[in-house]
Amino acid sequence: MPFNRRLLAVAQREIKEICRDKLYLTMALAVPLMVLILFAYGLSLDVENIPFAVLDQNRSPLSREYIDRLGRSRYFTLQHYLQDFGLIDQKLIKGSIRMGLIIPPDFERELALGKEAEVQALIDGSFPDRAETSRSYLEAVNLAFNLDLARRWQTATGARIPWIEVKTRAWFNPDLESKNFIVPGMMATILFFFPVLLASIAVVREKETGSIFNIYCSPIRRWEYVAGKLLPYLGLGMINYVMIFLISYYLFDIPFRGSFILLTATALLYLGVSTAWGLLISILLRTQVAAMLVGMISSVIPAFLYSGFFIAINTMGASGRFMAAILPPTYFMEMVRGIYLKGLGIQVYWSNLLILLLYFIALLGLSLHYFRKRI
Amino acid sequence: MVERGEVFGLLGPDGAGKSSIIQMLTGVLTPSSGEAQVAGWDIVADPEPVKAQIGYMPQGLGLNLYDALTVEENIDFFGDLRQVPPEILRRNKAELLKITRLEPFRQRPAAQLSGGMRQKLALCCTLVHLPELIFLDEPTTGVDPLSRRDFWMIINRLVVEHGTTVLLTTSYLDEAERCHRVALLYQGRIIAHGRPADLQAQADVDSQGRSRSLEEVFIQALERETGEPAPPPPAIPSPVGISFAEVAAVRVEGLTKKFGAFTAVDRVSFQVRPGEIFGFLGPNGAGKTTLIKMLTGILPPSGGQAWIAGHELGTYRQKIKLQLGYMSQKFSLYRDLTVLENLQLYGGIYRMSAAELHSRIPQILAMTDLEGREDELAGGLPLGIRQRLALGCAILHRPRLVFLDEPTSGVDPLARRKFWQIISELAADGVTVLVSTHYMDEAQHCQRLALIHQGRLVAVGTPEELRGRAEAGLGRLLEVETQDFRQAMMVVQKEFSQAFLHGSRIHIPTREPEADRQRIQKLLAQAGLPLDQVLEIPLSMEDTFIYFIQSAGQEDNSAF
Repeated sequence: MPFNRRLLAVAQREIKEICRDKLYLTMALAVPLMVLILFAYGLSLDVENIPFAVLDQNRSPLSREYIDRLGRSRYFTLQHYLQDFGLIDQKLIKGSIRMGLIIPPDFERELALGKEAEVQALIDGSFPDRAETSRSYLEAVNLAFNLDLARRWQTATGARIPWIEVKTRAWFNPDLESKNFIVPGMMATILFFFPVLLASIAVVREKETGSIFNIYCSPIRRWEYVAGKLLPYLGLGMINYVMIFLISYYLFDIPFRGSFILLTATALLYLGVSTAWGLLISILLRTQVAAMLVGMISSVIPAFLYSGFFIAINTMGASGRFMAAILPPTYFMEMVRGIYLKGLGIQVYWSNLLILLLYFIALLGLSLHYFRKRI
Repeated sequence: MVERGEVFGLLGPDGAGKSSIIQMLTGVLTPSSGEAQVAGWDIVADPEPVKAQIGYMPQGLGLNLYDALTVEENIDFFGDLRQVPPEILRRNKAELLKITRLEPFRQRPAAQLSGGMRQKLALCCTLVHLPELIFLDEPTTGVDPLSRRDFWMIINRLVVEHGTTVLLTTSYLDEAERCHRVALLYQGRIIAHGRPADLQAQADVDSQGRSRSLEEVFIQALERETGEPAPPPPAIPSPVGISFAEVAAVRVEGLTKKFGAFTAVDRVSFQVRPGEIFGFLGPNGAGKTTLIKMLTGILPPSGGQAWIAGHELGTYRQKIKLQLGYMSQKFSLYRDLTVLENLQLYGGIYRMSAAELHSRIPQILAMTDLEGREDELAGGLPLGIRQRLALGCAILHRPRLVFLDEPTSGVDPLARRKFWQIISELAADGVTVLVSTHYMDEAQHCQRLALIHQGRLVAVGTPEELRGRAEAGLGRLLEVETQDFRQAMMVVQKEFSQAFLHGSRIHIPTREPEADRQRIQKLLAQAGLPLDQVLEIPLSMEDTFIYFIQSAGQEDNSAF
């Protein structure tokens, strides 16, 4: 027999059902792109143009130069010159500035005497990551200003002060653009949680309507049904994959340095894992609502939090690293970024592929095991 | 033991275990203990081999169909699942579509079929591989009488032409007579089984010497089983003495309800006299619930007018609402409250004083026979008793007009009888009762009836009037009883195209009973077939309903 008729019947019927439900089809195709675009545009991890205010009690040329240096950098934007300390407090509370800078009255005099001058910076610490970044930027700008002062002093006195200058160059992402990091990452998150959501109602919907009895009471074999259900959603996932790839390339100009064939093959395997996971949920649960909830929680959280999408896995605690290690998105995330930005090949990633394959086999095996042609 | 080529009926109320038996026999549910063989295979050990040879139609109106697929695609899917060779699939499909009269709808999506058509399509899908043995779980519950007759015609044809064995479940006792053998089920046990005629013969004979109906058989078996004495059939209060002179309890003129393009209730007009038991009889989806919801003021009508006790719908105030009682189709009680707490809650909702409640609750408990169960949780009560409690809640505040929406659906015959007993007591107290049902045999408990089909009122009148009008139009029925009914049916059908099988008997509508009787006797004698007897019988309520549906349809056609 050239093909398996029962398997094909199940798959064809599923495809017809998906295609004829216009709303469902639109959602299945549009939602991943909407998520991608929203995140890629909205979720910039770059901290720039931090609004700040200054209370300049010195009002000297040097203090103005210092403020000017900060305001002209692309990291800070000067919002207000204030006269009153209380106002800095107020504006920080209101959130209209993220940093308040206070320059003491003796700023210029102390420096001219060759002493240390102190500047106070009040940073909004409510979002620790951003506060940390603001502080680093401030310190960097401050250091550069110090170097300038030192140079001037050098010229004036003729004395020599040795220092080290660091020249950095960012490989793979020379402009350090976060979209080059986010968009390939989104491919890994979307291709995990979305197929899980779609597949999680595939079987349970038939249980709710009662049409599952047609299957229970027919001579169809269990693997034929499970495979017949898996294939249409795998196909849908592949369509999503191709669309995400094209958008990343043409709309977001993400550099692609690796092998498209390797990426596609990996994506297929990865989609197999996520679809099988959704199918397993669908086989185990009884209602669509429960399946959607379990599918959502068990896919969105691993995909976004434990995949290394936002947070680098080696900076996580032991429990986080453990979670990341046992969840499949981590392995694809690593690969997709490596293939996109570094152009790495299969020789680096064969172990990731093997792990994804093991996940696929295990999840499919569990689905087959738990799918019984009985109530 | 079910024999090859037999139509075997499992009868019983909801929760009696009918579906579980079917599911065990089809290998879907694993039995806790015991043995069973289907078509020679031990289904307890391994149910898989038998699945190729059986057909199974689960409960619910075509719920196993795929709405997005067309009629033909649905059938093809089942054919593919069972790997029916393409040639045979095409032939079977053509034959099934023809006998179910679904042929013109091949390309229509299943979602756009009516309830009866869905049920027939589900049957086609179950039969596409022409199984030797088919299991049908409540195939006719809530189906309109026309589709029901079609359904039985198809079953009989299969049995006659292909020797198919049919095992079906039903909660309609009048359907049992169409089975060759039946088993009565109650709380998971078979309390009586045998040929319907033998069961009827075993039951006590009533005072007029007629053998009793299967309902009586079931009730007597239940009495033996539970040791609970059954009340006599409720006396129907005579409609005499009630006139339209007073303000009609309910007056409806051209009431219509549309949901988008779908008309659920279509220009319905009727009047209900005070103190009357007025029945809405019709299949699921006919519009009974929508009509009741409009009359109770829950659902605004799309057109037409209605008056409740002289007050126009939509304008009546709280005072009128207090005179209405409503028992919805779905379980409206709080499962986690006790019987007493449910009653107290309803009393509170209708702002009854503590003193009133104190005197009224014992009355209700006595009337609904719930004394001694006050502290039981409503959720734990059997369906029949729960429905009595729901009725008690609906009449607690002494309404003058009560709407009961399918109160007896799925309830066992004994509990149903008790329920109708309460309704007739209410009517005797002068309460007007509007009750909907899809049981044809419950028509006899109503003083007047409205037959509802596809949102239209096809006839209104007393049951006798309606039957009389149908008999005037259609004639009476001849019932032919013979040992070899399959052969006899083939013979009779050639001369009487309207003949249909009713179990192992043949029914023939006739206008000239004597002449036709002689013709039948002659026909069978020529064919050398034995003949037990030919009886003239009145039209059943189902036949009556079908007559009105068909004559309403003809009027429609002539109007175009």
